[in-house]
Amino acid sequence: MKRIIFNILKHIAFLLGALFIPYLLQQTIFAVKKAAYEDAQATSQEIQEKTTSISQNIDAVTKKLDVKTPKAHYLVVNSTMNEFRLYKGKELVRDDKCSTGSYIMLRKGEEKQWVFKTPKGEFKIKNKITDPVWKKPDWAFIEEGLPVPSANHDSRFEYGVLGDYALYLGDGYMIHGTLYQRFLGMAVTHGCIRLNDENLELVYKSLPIGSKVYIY
Amino acid sequence: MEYQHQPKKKSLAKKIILAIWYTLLLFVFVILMIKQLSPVSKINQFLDSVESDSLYIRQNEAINNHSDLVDLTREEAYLKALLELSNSDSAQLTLNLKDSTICLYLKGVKVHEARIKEPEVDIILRHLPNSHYLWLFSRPIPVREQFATFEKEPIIVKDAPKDTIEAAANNEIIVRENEPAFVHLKMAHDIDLIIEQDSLLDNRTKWARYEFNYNIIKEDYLKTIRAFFSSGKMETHPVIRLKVPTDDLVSLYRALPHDAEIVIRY
Repeated sequence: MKRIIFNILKHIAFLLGALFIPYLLQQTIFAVKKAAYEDAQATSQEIQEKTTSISQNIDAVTKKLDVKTPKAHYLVVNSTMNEFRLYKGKELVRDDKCSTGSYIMLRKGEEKQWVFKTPKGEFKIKNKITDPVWKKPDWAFIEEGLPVPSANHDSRFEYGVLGDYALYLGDGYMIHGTLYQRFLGMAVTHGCIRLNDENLELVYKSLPIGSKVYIY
Repeated sequence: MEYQHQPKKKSLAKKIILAIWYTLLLFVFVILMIKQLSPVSKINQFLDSVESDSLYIRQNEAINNHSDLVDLTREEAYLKALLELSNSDSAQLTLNLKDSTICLYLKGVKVHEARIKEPEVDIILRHLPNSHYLWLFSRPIPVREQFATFEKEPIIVKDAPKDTIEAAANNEIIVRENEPAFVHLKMAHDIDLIIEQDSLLDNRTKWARYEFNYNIIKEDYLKTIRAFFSSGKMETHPVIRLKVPTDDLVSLYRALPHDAEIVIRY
């Protein structure tokens, strides 16, 4: 029994040696290599000059980066967590829940399908209106199990469902209100961004046409 | 006669078992040795890559390696890489271990920031001379492959209802369950970024973490064994490992495009 235990311990020691010996070797090689490179000799004046030059470069690049952030109001939407943040420059004006695309893929046979997701990227407010009317697209009827009417049929127009304001982002996507405020914070839309009435009014009044909207 | 034959047979079988056992032991010994020494070959590979970049060698000044300038040169490299990143049309990631943040930038605008916990930088990256650090991290690093324990686009397929009755019956809101969040980003220069959720609340998450790490280690060792038998090039992946709050990690990963780039500062 003792012999078996001794043999097992011997083998474990052998394997530990396979880890430890190269580790020591590795550490020594690294230390030598690093020392060889970091042996830069310089006078204090040279260091001072270099420090000044790098600091100036850092300032210049920082200024170039700062310009990228809009000075005016802009909106940031997190479509994963269904949250938005309204900024003015770097100052946070409002953050709250919103609703974004549900990621549902609606299939009508083999030929037609729609994916209800909010697009990601940098957008601009292309237009904004009060008392928007929703012109229901084909999928809205298909989703409800209804026949699709003609392009300008009366049943396509719904009043009051988008809230008091709508801000257009292009390609049919909007920031608008909702009748279903209890679903805010959840991924339930067909791609548009829904806000509650108070937030929608603030966003509408803060973002003029051309304002940036960042969606991720 | 039988009495004499029996021990002979036993001893032969024992010898064969021992021979197999010692061969296996030797094999494990060699593989462990190779694994332990592979960072040395990787750092040599980095050094060779830098030294073969004649343009960089001409522009880089030896003074950059001076210990008084390391921090400043790294900050400059980080900001320059960030500026380059701002030319990208899609969201991109920055990892700054100096101020413990991981951020998402869209066209140069910081849209998301999260605090990181327990960052670990691989021995290879820690021992990189500053001039070589600057060569590696002065530009955004492309992400070659992305893996996660949750889906990038959690699409649910629904067939259109036949009539209004079926539509009304299927009109429930789908509440999505929170999935364990562990992300593995394989970057250029064979650098791996492993991001874990910061809390392990339930057994399902603990198991997911175990499975996630086991797959990484398994893949790593299998590659080493394959390279050993085929006399191929050993792959070593310097790793940066960190933890991020779950919601932040899911948001960051889902925002990353397939051709993501990362700016790193440590």
